[in-house]
Amino acid sequence: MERLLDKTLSRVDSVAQLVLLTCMTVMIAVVASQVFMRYVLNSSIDWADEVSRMAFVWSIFIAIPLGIREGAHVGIDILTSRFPAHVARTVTRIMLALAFVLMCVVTWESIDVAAKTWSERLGAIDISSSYFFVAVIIGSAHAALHLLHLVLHPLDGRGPDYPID
Amino acid sequence: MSLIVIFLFLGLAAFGMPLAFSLGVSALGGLLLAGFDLSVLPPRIMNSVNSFPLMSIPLFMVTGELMLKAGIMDRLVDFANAFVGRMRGGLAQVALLSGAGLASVSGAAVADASALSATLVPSLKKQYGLGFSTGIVAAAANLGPIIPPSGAMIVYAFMAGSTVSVGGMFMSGVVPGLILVTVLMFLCWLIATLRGYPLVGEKASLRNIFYQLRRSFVVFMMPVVVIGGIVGGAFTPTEGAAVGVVYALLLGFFVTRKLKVSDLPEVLLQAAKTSAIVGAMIAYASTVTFLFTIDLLPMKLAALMNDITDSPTMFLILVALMLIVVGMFLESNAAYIMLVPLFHPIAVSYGIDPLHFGFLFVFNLVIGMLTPPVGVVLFVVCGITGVKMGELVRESWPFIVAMYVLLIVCMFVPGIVTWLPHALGY
Repeated sequence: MERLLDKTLSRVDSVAQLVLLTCMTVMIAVVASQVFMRYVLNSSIDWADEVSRMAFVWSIFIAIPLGIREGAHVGIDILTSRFPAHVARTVTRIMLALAFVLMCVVTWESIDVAAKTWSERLGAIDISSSYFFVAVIIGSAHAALHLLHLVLHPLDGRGPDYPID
Repeated sequence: MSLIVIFLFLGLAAFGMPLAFSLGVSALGGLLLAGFDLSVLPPRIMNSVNSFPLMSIPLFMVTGELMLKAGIMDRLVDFANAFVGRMRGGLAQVALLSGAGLASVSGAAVADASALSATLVPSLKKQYGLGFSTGIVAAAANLGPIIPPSGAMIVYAFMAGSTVSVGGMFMSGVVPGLILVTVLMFLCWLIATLRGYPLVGEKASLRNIFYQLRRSFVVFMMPVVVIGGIVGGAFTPTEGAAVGVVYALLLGFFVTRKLKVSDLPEVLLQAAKTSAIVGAMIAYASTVTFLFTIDLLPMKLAALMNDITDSPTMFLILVALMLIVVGMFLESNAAYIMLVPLFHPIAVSYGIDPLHFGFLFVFNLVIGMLTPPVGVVLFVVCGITGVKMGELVRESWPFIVAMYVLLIVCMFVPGIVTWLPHALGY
């Protein structure tokens, strides 16, 4: 079970990194081109705003689970760092389990909302506006997997160390 | 209901749950208790980060990192050395001045702290020992979010809504930032003289100064183009940040030629991950804010403040005291995201200039990054240089005190903060 979760996660993580790189590149390229078009070619790209926001929203939600993997999300450990090791470990597992429940709820509700609003189109590019929610769905599901992994196999503050490449 | 949500949040956060999730779980609890349909969650979570202005956060991060990879630190250090190398505590002065230069192209204290620690501490510690060297670097890193551009100010302006603009916030930090550099350099001179640190640098020569000015010209043109463009109305902050990225790429590839294509993925990924941490907090805080608004909490809080005092000055002092405590325990972005939506409107209702309040708020929490037990800049400097936390704190307190003194001066002399942005039409 642990090996399966490890393997799945490292695969998903590397795909997530590729998606992130794409989103960041698109964001920079589109916003910079918009300025270039306006001042040099005296015209504008009418889809620039929507595309760059889409890339930004995707980059946020896709990057959240990678932050969980690295233990990068800020928290307060003044109290828990004073607990005896086994108590701290149990408390952390409970907290991560609650966060796991949150991510499952968010994933489920987002699927629901996306399905109900799928027919709404964006203004400048002809795709469903629910693609914004697809980022939330994928990111939260991925985050839930990482949290589940941490709940099942806590690694005493070191964080999980599965290979990513 | 708001109280239950607040206590739930504090409880979860105290037991170590990351803040973004503590916010989300406590909002989830509040929604279930109040019998709301959970389908209100996804639109709030998504729409709160679906914002063009917010995009400037990762873009400015990329700009700063690319400028560093392009090797601007060498040029900044040489530049600073030509001017202040011969002063008492010369090398430490160089660190402060190049920290100020770095602050004008980067907007994050954490990034500045790691860059300054890695490049300057090895040579600083040979002259002054590890403690003083790291104290100086930590103080210099704190200039990052005060001198524009500033990630903290972008987050503040975003959370405060339409009453302050990013450009206005940027400009509010310029004069206090310059005063702070001067004060820190004076303190450094004082400490160096008292401890009898030797004069070591070469004499300043006009020829060298001109040479270094020419070499660092390309570095300082970046804030001129980017910040100048934003303030002048040529582009929005987000567009300005993207222009900065292009500028840094051109500089790194064609002028300094130190940037490699293989550096890019790491820079982009790091910026995405760091801004997602802020993004996650904004996204999940929006669910809590939703509950607060239904409960009319902002109005209740405003009424409570009004009962306590009707003096704007007293209000500023109370907020400042609260933020000093908050700054000791809470990461600063989390504090902006949770507290600005509550306190900024109250400040406006007291008739306080929004830029004045905004700057004091940011400056206070920026100093908080240097105050133990929780201070990100301290953590970064300790992590990179290996200095003990106690030693770093012992050597950096004079700088922290100086910053708080400047904060008080800015509180009572609003002109220091608001003169420049007002003169520019903000």
